[in-house]
Amino acid sequence: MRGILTDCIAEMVDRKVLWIFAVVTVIGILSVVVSRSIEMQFQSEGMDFQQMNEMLGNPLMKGYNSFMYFLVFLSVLATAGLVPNMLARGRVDFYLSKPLSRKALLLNKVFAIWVVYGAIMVLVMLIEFVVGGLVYGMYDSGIVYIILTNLLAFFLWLSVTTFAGVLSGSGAMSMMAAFLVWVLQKILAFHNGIKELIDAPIVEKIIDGLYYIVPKTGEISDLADSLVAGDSVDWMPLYSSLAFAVVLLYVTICLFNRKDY
Amino acid sequence: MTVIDVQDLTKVYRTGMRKGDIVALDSVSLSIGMGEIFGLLGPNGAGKTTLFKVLLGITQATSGEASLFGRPPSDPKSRLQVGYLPENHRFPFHLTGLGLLEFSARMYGMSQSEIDQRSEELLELVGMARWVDTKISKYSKGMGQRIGLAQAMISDPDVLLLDEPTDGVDPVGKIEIRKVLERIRSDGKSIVLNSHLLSEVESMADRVAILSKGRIIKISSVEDLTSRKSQYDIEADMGSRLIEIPPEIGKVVVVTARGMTVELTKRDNVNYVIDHLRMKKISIYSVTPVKVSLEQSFIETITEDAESQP
Repeated sequence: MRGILTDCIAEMVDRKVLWIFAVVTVIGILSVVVSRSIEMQFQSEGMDFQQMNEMLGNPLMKGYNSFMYFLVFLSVLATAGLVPNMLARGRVDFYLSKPLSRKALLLNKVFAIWVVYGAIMVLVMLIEFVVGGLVYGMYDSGIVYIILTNLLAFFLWLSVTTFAGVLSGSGAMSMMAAFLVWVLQKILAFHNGIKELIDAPIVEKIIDGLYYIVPKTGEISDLADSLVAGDSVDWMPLYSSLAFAVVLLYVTICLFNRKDY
Repeated sequence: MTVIDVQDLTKVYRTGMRKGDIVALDSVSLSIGMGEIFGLLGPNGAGKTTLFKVLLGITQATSGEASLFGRPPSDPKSRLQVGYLPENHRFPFHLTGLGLLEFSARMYGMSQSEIDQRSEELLELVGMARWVDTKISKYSKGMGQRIGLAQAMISDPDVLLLDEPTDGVDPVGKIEIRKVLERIRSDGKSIVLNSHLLSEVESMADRVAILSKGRIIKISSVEDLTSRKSQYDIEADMGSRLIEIPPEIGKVVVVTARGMTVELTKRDNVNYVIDHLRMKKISIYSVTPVKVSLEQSFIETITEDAESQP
C-alpha cells in the first residue's frame, strides 16, 4: 500500500472523524437501552421479547441494519472530500512525483479509505451488537450479512464520490454526486409504478435501463434484511450495483490518467 | 551520462475560451548530464514549472519527447531516482515533519530501517530535527521549504528537481540550503534549479537555460553568460597617456590613470592591445574579461528577445 493506508488513518485522526463515530456509538447504545425500557413496559403488560420480536419481524436486526446504513451515510460524508483533497493544487504534485502509477495511487487510496472507514463502521456495529446482546440476550449471526452488504454499499458510494472527485476536484461536488445518485435510486426503486403512470415504451425502456445501471444501495440494505430473515433473495441489485462500481472505477482511472495537474 | 533529455517538447493548455490556447512550452529541447547543476531562468509564466511537471508526468506533453534516465514520464520507474520539491506546495497538513518523510519514503518502497536512518540524517541536515513531531500545518514558509527539500532527498535520488527551493527562507536558511545543495553536487548528483534568485543560480549552476513564453531563448554555461567576451579591463600605469586602437582591432571604452577598458572586434586582438601598450613602455598588471552579473545578462537576453518579437 506504499504508506497510503497509514496516511489515510493519520488523515482520519486529524479530521477528528473518530469523535463523530464515538458520539454515534454512544447514541446507538442509548437507543438500545431506551428500547429495552420500552420493551420492559410491554413485558409488564404480558408480552415477552420473543413474541414481540416475531410479531414485529425481528426489529433488533432491522435496527442494526438501519444503524449500519446510517454509518455508511456518515462515512460517505466523511470521505467524499478525501480524493479531491489529495488532488488539490500544490498537493497533487507531491503524490504524482513519486514512483507510483496513477492507477496504483488511486486504487490504493480508494482501498485504504474503504478499509479504514469500513473497519471503524464494523467496530461501531460490533459494539452495538455486543451491547444489544447483553441487553436482550440475543446474538444473531445474521449480523455478518448486515456488515458485509453495508460494506459493499460503502464501496459503491466510494466509486461514485471518487469519480466525481477526480472529475471535479471538489469535495462538495463529490457529496452532491452521491446525493444525486441517492435521490435517483430512491425514485427508480419505484420504477414499476412509474412505468404504469407513463404510457410510452421508449420512456419505459429508459427507466428500466436507468434502474439496472444506477446502484441500488437501498435494495442492498433490504437484501440484508431478507438474508437475516431467511427469505428468498434477489441478487440482481447487488450484482448490477457492483458491476456499476467496477465500471465507474475503471472510467475514473482512465479519466485520472488523462488529466493534467 | 544524460539523465534528462527533452526533444522538441510542446505543451499547449486548451482553455476552450475565446482567449485561445496557452502555449506553455514551445519546441523545447535540452539535455542535462549526471553531476550537472542546471538552472532554469525565466519570467513568470515562461514554462519552467510546466517543464518540471511534464518531466514528472504530472502534466502530459502535447508533442515532443521527454525522458528521465531514458524512460518516458509515463513510466513510474522514471521517477525512482528523482526527488522533487514543488513550488507553492501544500504537503498533507495532517502529517508531521517526520510523518511526511516516512510517507514519502514508503512511496519509494524503502524499508523501515532505511527510513529511520535517512530521516534522522536529513532532518539534521535541513535543520528540522527540533520540529519532527510538529504538524506541517503549523510550519512557517521557510520550515515548509526545508522539510520539502528533505522529502525530495529521502530516497537519495540522483536527480533533484527544485522549484524555488529558497522561496520564503530567511538569509541564514538560504545559505544553509545552498550548502546542502553543494554537498549534493559534490556527491556527483544532478540538480535542476528553478529560481527567481539569480544570484543563487549564478553561484551554483554550471549551465542555465533562459525561457521566455515557453521557448528556450538561450542555453549556455554561467561563465559564458556572465562574461563580456569583447570587453577587457586592463590594469596598467596609464598616467596621462592617451591610447588609440585601429577600428578593425576595436575601440577604447574608457581610460583612467590606472587602466583602461577596451572593446575588441575579436578575442585574439587582446594580444595586439598588450603589445601596443608594452611598446609604449606602459606597465601592465592584469587583463581580465569584463564580467556582468547573471541578472544583468538575463535582463538583456529577455529584453533582446522581446524586441526581436514582432
